[in-house]
This record gives sequence, C-alpha cells and structure tokens, in this order.
Amino acid sequence: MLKQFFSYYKPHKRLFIIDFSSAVIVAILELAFPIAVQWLIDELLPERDWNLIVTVSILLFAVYLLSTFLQYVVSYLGHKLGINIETDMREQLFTHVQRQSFRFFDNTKTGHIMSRITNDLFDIGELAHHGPEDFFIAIMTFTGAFWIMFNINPTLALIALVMVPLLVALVTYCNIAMNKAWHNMYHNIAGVNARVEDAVSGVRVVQSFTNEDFELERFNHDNGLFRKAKIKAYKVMAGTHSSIYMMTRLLTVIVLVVGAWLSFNGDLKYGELVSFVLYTNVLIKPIDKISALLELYPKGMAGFRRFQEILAKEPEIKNDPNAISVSKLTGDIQFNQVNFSYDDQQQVLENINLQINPGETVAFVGPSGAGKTTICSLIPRFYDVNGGAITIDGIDIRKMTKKSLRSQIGIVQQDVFLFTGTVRENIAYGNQQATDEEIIDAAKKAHLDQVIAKLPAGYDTQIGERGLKLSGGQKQRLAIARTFLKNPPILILDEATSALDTETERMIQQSLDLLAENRTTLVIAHRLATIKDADRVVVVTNEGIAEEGSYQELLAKDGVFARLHKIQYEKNQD
Amino acid sequence: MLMEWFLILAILTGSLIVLLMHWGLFLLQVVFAVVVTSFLPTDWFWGALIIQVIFGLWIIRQTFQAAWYQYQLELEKTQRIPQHYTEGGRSGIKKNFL
Repeated sequence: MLKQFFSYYKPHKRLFIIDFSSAVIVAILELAFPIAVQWLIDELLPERDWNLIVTVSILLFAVYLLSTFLQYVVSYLGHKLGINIETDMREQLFTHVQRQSFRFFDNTKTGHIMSRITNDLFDIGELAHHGPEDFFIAIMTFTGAFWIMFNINPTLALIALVMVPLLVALVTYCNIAMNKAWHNMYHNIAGVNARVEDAVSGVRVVQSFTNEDFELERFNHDNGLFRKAKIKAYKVMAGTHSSIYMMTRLLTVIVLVVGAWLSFNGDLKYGELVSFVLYTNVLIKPIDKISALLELYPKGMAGFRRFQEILAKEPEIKNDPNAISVSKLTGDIQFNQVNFSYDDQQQVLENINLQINPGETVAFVGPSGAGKTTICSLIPRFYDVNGGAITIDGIDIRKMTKKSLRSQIGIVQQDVFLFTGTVRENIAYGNQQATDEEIIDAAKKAHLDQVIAKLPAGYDTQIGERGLKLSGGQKQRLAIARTFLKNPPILILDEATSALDTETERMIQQSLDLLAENRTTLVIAHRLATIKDADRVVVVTNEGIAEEGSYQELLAKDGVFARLHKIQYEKNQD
Repeated sequence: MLMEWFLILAILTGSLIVLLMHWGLFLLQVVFAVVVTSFLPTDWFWGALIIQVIFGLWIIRQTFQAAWYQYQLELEKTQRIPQHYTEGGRSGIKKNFL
C-alpha cells in the first residue's frame, strides 16, 4: 500500500525533491549553527581579532538568511505538495464516483461519499506532506545532534539523553489529553451543526408554530456545550505547551549546571557548553515531530485505504471496447426477453418483450413496484439487463457508448432536481452550448417565459438551493425547458405531473404534449386521465406485462387496466 | 566507551517503552541499566550489550505493531473491516501496547 501511496508523488517529483532537499539542508544548518558558535567562542574570541569575528558573524547571518528562506520553501512547497496530491486524489475520486452506475449510489450513503472526498483526503494530504519529510528529518536531526553532543562530551550527552524518555512520556500523555479534548469538542460542534441544520431547513415549521424562542433556547444550550468543550480543549492545550516548555527549559538548566561543573573541572570549554545548550533544543524538536507523526500515520493511511477501496470499485456499467457512438436515433426501441433484478435475488422483470415504434407515445401503468420505472431505467443503461437485450434502431444499447446513448434520451421526473444558480444556468444544463435565443425559445415552449418575466432578475434570477424559490409547477416547467433544449429523440416522462395539483397538471401537460411531439415517448403515470392520448398503454404488474393496447381497447377488455380505471374513477367521484 | 553505548541503547529503548506506555517494563529497563552499569563485572559487558540490543530490536518491532494496531483500529471504527478489537461496544483503546 505504501508503494501505491508513493506513486502519487510521481507527478510532483520535482516539487518533492526541492522540498525534501531544502528540509535536509535546513536540518544540516540547524546542526551546524551550534558548532559555529562553539568555534567562535573557543577559537576566535581568545585571539581578540575583531575583524575576523565580524566577518564570521556576517557569514553566520548570511547562513541564517539562507536557512530562513529554505524554511519558507519547506513550509510553502511542502504544503503545496500535500495539497497537489490531495487535489489529484480528489479529482480521481470524483471522476470515479461520477462514472459509477445507479446501483453504486443505491448501496452507498451520500454522507460516506462526501466524507471520502473531503475529510479522508485532508488527512492524506497532511500525511503526504509531513510523513516522509518529518520522519527522515526527525531521525536525522536527533541522531546528528546526539552524535555531535556525544563527541563533545559523552557524560553530558548521556545526561541530556536521560531526559528524553521523560519528554516522550510528557508528549505522549499530553497528546492523549489533547485528543480527548478535541474529540469532545468535535462531538459538540456536530450537535451545533445538527441544530442549525434543523432550524434552517425547518424554518417554515418553526415560524408557523412561532417557536423561534424555543429554537434559540435549544441552540444556546448546544452552543454553550460547545463553548465549554472548546475552553476545556484550550486549557489542555495551554497545559501541554507549558509543560513541554518547562521540560525543555529544565533540560537546559540541567545541561547548564552539569556543564558548568564539568567546565570548572576543565572537562568542557565555554564554547562547548554554549553549543551543548543550543543542541538540547535541536534534540527535543524531533520527539514532538515523531509523536505527531505516530498520530497522523494511522489516520492518513486508513483514509488512503478507504480512498483505494472506492477506486477499486469498477463501474458496473462500462463501455464495450467496440462500442459505437450514435448520433441521431429514430427511437425504435425493442425489449427482447429482458430479465432484470436489483440484487440477484428477487427478479423484478422476467422475460419482457416489447416493441416501441419511432415517434410512438407509450404509457406504462400498473401498481407501485411492478417495474415501470425499472423498464425505463434500463433504456439509458442506468442499470444493465441480467438477461436478454434492449435494442434501439436495431443496435444493442450495450454496443453504444454510454455518453452517446444518454445524449439521445431526455428524462423528466416527478422529483425535479435543480442546481443552485440562475434560471438561465438551469435551462442551459440541457445543452451547455445553447445560445440565449435557444434558451428563451425552450422556456417559451415549456410555458415558462411568463413566469420568468415576473421574476426580479428574469433569466438571471437565483432560484435558491435546489430551486427553493420556485413552486412545484415552475420547477417542473424548468425541467421541461431544459429537456426541450437537449432535444432528444427519445423521451421518458416518469410521473412528471404526479406531484402537481389538477390545474397546474393541466398546464404542464400541454407543455409535455408539445415536448413529446415527433419523439418516441415513454410515459409512466398513475393518473390515468393523463395518458388518454397515448398511442398505446402497457399494463405492468408483478407478473410482467399483463395487457397492451390503446386506452379504449384496454377499457373494453375489462382486465387489469379496466379495474385500475374503475378504482380511480370511483375515487374521483368520491 | 562500551558502557556509553550500552547506556545510549538503554535510554532510547526506554523512550520507546514510554511511548508504548508500559511502566512495568520501563522500570525493568531502568533496573537493568542500573545493575549493568553499577554492579556487572566489565567482562560481562558484551553479554549485557547483546541482551540490550535484542531487547531494543524487540521493542522497535512492538512499536511498529502498535502503529499497525492503531491503523487497524481506525479501519474498524470506520467500518472498512469486520469488527474485532471493537467488538461488543469496546473502544479498542489500549492502556499499553505490549
């Protein structure tokens, strides 16, 4: 897995080399500074050569400047490397998710996908930046610093090293305490988020019950809990920082005292003592880094594994290697002995044979769960058949590229999904290359132009999240307008007017009739009154296609359709 | 110099034991270090050094295993692998990693 992880560095090899080399140089310079100071004190000061001291100091300052610049490079380019890898992975994941079939989305929670694309990748990005670099630098500086200290004075080096386990203990326990505190804080902010989401989404209910004060009270309670948790987290953080600071200073004092004693006995020069004190700081830094890495590594790698697991899920519906791109289909649809099941256990469609002629309007009626929507979902290959074949214009749809096939099919559903943006943007979703004239024409055909004229900014009016500012009928017309703009030869109307009142339904029906002109149209409907003008009605039951014929023929047949008709008619009478 | 090397190894091993949060073993390491440096005849030093090296390597192995455990725990908690350490509502958090 590590090999796969490192493969993401490949496109950013140059960046990684610059960042890593800079980090190594910074670490070497950090190790070299105390030696330079020691040399200055022990060798140059006794000679009392002021010019040499000034020259060396200027050189030292230049090296400090170089180190500062390189630290900037490490911090900036290192994070850039991390975000670059994160961005690559996010793009790869998003593309992969978009290629997935409907079955993937049926079985995967949206929240999980969101979490994979956002949170997991944050951890991976951090690991990509800090992982290899910090690990190498920490080991290098710790070993290097100790080695130099050991060569200056082994006894003092060992005394300084004795402090390391204590420091490790402190850092470990502080990390545990910090983790607990932050975990608690995140738990509480989740509560605040949920409360805000509830209050905002349900603002109409809140205001209609005049429960604003009650909501405020509940919000204040959750907000207060979050405040307390955050204050506690800061308290732990302050304690952690102070303790670590105290421990490092204690180490400095111990080194100073023992060093002074060794100096009195002539075992340590003054410059060596000063450099020793400086090295204690270098020795301590890696401990903190390694500790942070030990926390980051499991999270980052687990995130990477989850990322890989999603990538490993091959899209169920793929293009055949010899798939052709179709451009203008006539809409001659044929189902040949089609079998289909969602879960390989319960057969939804069995041995379905159906012929739909170009330009024909075929209505599908029947009880819920009989498979009407399933039949229509198979045509754009949202799912693939388990047996048999579906052909359009004599070509098996599996032999067409998915993109070209779906470009020939327009779908208007009961639940219209609109994107946050303007009216114009949402209509243009049907054809990204459409001109303003074409957009206006599509709106006119969908009888949407009069509605748009009354909007404050016309076509540039923001429709709110998922078209919140529009009524059900207006949303439906917008969906029809974008299908007009797409102008597909095959049209699927999946209970497009079911959620509307009778008056709106009548108006929308006019737009739909216009949309269906000269197209092969499949209509799924519960209200039988809306399919009176269909060329043919197909009655789908749990046993498959039970009846087929014109509206009047089926009524005369006195079968399933006639029974459905009777029930609806009686309901309407009531 | 042999003694210094022994002490370096003992202190670094001790640091890793602290990281693995096993105070009993840490105490054992301290006692071993004190006994070796204070009471052990010089001729036996090589033996002590070898024991310390082997013990240090074992502790390094345990450290890697601890990192692996944390990784497994993260996977379990995010439902990527079947529950084992977190079965029956357990948090899976260990008091120490040895």
